[in-house]
Amino acid sequence: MELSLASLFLATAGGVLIGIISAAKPYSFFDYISMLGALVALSAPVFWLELMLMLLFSVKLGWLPAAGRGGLAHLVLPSLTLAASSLALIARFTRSTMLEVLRQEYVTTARSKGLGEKRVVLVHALRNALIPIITVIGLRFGALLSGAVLTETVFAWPGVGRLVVDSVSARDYPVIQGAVLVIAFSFVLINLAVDLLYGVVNPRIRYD
Amino acid sequence: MATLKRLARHRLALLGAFLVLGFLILAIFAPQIAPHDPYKFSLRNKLLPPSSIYLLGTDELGRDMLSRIIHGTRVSLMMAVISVAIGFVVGTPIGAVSGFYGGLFDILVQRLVDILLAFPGILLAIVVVAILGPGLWNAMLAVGITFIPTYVRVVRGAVLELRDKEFVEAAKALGAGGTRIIWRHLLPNCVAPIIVLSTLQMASAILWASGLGYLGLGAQPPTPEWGTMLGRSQTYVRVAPHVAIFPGLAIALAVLGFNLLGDGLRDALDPRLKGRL
Repeated sequence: MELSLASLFLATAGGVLIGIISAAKPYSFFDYISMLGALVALSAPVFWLELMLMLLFSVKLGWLPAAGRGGLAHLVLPSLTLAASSLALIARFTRSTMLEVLRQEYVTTARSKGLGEKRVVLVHALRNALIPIITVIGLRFGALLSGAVLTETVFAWPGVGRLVVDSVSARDYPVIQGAVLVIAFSFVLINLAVDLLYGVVNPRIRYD
Repeated sequence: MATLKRLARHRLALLGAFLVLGFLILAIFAPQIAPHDPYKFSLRNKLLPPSSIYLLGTDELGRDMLSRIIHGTRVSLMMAVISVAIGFVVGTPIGAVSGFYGGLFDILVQRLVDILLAFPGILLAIVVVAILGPGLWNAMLAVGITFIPTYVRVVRGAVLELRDKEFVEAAKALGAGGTRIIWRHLLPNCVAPIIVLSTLQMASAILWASGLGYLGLGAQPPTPEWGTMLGRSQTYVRVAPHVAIFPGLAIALAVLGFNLLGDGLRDALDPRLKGRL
């Protein structure tokens, strides 16, 4: 779970940032490179990406520990690779939503008021693009939870995901049931949090 | 025709179609293309790096990696096709009936779908495998079952949109029954989202089936399946990185192909689907 949360943070921060930059300057060099990178990250199987990065950073360069749980250094590789596909998806989605919002009339109004481009993009456009972006982030948390099953196996990380896999091979049904329940429940909780966040982001949405 | 033309103008979609076609040819003609027997092992030649005899090297039992990957195309594509077919065959009628009639059945189905969707992604497949036991066919069934709720949702959404259109009213006025309306009037109009969804699901199916294989819950050795190969080779990755690089590359390329083709099909068939699929 620790892994999934770290990855959620990474994917959100990185994905939204890349998406905004790509949308602010569409069809630029940065846009092409990041969207191509996103496609590759979406297609590569997470356990393979992990093995490859492990080979590069732990075996060849020796910068990071290859497996196990410990300090921050242990968290870098697994959370980064687990985040990769979600980061890519969030970046792609942020880009397309922002592009749509930037076409709206209130954005033109803000520009014609003489506001700087930074303020227009970051304040006026982003605020209105946030709702669909938050929805996708919430949904991706599910992917992160299940992706963690594979990541934890690759990096020998003692988490719920590996517990599920180990107990499946051991046919330990009560443990499987418990672990799956915990994962599904936390997914439901995150979705509830997302629903509540809508109201914070857009005060027009109220739950009575 | 117009759709095909639009697809052909989409350069990335063409690349995707090219990749998919390439893998299809590899799968169909695997025995003819593969230079060696994918099952024949020779321990003397184990973990050889790529050479002129073994283009991609050999695995931990001295089997030719290239031949195993080519035969693996067959296994992976077959798994993907069958699991997508399970999702399609079960999900489409449920979604159509649920969207068309509404009522109590719709509510029950939608809550059931909600429950299934609360188990994120591959986890549901792992649970199904835990119940059925590991293996090639059970993994296929497991991945197929996880696809059912998505088909139900997408088809139901499409049917809901069409249900109150004039041509459905006209069919009703002519005295057509529910089955006939769904079969002859609604489903033909849902073909576009279903084709797009199925192409994109093929990509997920390959990813998930290989993920199960990697965890040891999918295809069992000695079946040459990409995920299983990766899982088995992980122990040797330090001494012979090629045993891990190439099967993963095959998965990534196949998934990329289906993703690109699916994106392109979506833009060509129905641009409004963007953001929904």
